[in-house]
Amino acid sequence: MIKTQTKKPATGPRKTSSLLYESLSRIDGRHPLQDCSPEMCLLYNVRTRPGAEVAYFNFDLAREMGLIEASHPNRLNAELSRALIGAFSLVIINEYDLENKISYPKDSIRPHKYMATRYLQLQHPNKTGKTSGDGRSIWNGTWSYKNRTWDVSSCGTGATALSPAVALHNRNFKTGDTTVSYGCGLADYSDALGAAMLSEIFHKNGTPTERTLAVLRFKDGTSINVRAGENLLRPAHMFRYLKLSERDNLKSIVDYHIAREKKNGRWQPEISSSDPYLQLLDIFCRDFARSAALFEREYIFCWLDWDGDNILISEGAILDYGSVRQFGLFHRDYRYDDVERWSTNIPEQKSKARYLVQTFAQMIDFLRSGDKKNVRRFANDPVMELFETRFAHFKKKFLLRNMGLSEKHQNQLLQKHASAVTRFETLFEYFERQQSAKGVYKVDDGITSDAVFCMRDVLRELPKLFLAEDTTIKDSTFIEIARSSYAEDKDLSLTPSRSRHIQNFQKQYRRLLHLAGENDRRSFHRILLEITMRSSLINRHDRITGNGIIRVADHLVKKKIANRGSELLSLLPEFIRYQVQGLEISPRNHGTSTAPVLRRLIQIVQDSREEI
Amino acid sequence: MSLVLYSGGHFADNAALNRACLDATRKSLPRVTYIPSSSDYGIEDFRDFVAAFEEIRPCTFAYFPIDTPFTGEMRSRALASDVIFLSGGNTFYFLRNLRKLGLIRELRHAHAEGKVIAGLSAGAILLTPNIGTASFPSFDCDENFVGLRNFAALGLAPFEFFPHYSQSERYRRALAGASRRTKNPIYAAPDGSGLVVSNGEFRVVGAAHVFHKGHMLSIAKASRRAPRPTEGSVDIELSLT
Repeated sequence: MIKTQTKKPATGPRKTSSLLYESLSRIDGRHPLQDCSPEMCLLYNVRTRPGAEVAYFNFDLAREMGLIEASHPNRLNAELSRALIGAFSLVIINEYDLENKISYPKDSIRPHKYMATRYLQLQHPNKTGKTSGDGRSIWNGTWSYKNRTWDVSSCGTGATALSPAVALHNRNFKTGDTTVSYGCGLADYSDALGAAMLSEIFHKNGTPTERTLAVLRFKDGTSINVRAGENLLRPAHMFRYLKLSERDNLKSIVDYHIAREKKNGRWQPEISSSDPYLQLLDIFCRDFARSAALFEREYIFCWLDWDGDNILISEGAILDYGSVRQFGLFHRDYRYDDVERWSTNIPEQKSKARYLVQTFAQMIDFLRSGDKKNVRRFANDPVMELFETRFAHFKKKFLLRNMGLSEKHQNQLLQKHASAVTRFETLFEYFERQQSAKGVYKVDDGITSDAVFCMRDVLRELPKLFLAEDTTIKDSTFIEIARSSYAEDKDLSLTPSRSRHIQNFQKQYRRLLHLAGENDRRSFHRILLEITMRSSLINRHDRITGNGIIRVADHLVKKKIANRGSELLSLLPEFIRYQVQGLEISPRNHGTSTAPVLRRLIQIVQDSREEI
Repeated sequence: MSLVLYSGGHFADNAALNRACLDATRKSLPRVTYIPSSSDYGIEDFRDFVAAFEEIRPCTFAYFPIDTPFTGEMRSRALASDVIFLSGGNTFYFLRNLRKLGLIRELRHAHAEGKVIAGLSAGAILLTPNIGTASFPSFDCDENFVGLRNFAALGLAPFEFFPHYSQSERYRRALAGASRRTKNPIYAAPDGSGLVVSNGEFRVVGAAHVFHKGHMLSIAKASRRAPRPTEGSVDIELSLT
């Protein structure tokens, strides 16, 4: 076999592949943060965790990262599998192992140490970050390709001393000990599949997020989830040094962050100041205003809070999909019950993002002046006003986008007809935010209330109706389109006020289209045609929700589809592609799209479309 | 009372059939409703459809997916168009939904009212008495994943239709065999070709083959000198092979 390969000229690319696969072994625990901020890093020896199989590999991401060739087929071969398992099937030798003198074969222990990082976490008793951070994750290292550097980290690699369980019980835990929550250090395979799918759907639809590079599964139902992002620092990493008033350490991590962002081409401040710290504050303010607006418009629940956890500094991107959900409707009052505290709800995320910007302003001031002032003094900092302006701008922009308007028309309307956009937004939110008379009630994992209307359905159906006939629709038709399955008859009564709102909504909607088409009749029809097409995809009837993704992942595991490597590797990208909003997507594959498994998954998504 | 049956291919490759659809309306600004077999990917085909029809002449369009909920107002607006176009896709799934929603009767009514009913591939099969041709040959058939048993379709055309026909022995054998089991002639056409039925007359655009009681008739290509078909003309040559 080897002789044949060396004789054939076609072995060239194969050899290149081998070399690329081998280069995965360069992701070996070493990370520049260990030199830049050693105090932030808790270093662990790691050993090989046996029994792994590659369940999922993100070929698109691997190509972007240069881990495989651009022409690499979307098939996992034995060599690539071995390389992935070799690089990522790891478990830390933790404090429990050391205390109990548990020894492991020397040849299973890797030469370099891997780090867990310290950062603030609200669920820890110590609020200054002395005990908190990566509880079941390690950073595998960095990878650079074409002037971009990625951080690679893995979740489910063992219980670290930074998990809430260690702080709460004041003792170390054995990896795999399931007697305490937040403490076993392992990750559930079903959760990993859900995170891999949802994060990739978000990414392809333009929501900034970390992405899953690979999922390794084990026979006990656990997994290691390998994630990658161009900069995995959270505000919580920096805020920890702010809380501890450690200016030098803060400066190191902030300078490191700025250098990485510049290197990755993500440094685009909008202010005229040449002070990099003020530029950073400006970028942070813009990114968090954008993300908060996006979360509110897309009904993304990300549990933002004062600690700056669950989100990345870079682009305000989502990470750690444990609690991340996308709702089908504006379920205004949903809160997750985390035993000792309630999460935020969707509309509160904006105020949390605002508070993060305020804390960031305090941090930048501390860095520049050396004097740590009370965070309340920054409540009226000019950057807060900027945050409000930007938040309002992005929220309107995303509404216009969800209507199906092109980027050009969005900008044109925001610049020239801002008051018309505001009037439409007010009417849109009048319907979007109405909750059922049933009020707030308890659900399995928290509390919620039910949205009466599904305004995404209105944005999808209305242009179709106007396209078919250029007249306003009846009030009863509007209600028929907009009503959610949660709405009861008493929620839907056509009062004179509601009737007026329905008529005004249509009037303002049509006005925006006329303004976008600059009152030209032909342009109006053309724009209607375009937004019919775009809004059908953006507001698809079977848009994925948090419950939908959980049920899809559970179905894959229960039906053992998740154990069939090659089938899963072709199924997941197809499922992800099916949820992509843009028109410019890869060519379809009719043969695969009619596969019974995919149809079942789509049915699950449809059944969960209005849920949390 | 016009029917246009497209075999398949890109809309842009079916210019003569697109023109036949619009000519049959006798309107300068016809209104065209596109009904996708499935909302999954339907909008992308609609985009190509619009582009191809606008190449012929200005039209207004309606997009009417039927496998997601729609209102009565949408239904009446969509079915009021001059041309109702049924897309390609899974024939069984499409027929199941049309029947479930009571659209079979409404489409027959629209046809009787003089509207142009057109279909591509699965959509074309639906215009015939039954969708039997979607279930063979085994190497090129739709999957009946909805478990449909009643194959009766719109019955607007007095023949059966086999789209995406490819000139090969195995297709020929399969169709000859199938034609022995049905009283209707089966018209088979390759992609880019199709049939126009108007007021009892029909015309082949491109090429077609007729299978009947085990025999095959080939219909030569329409005259290249007359690429713009005229309503009501019969510009085909028949030859026994």
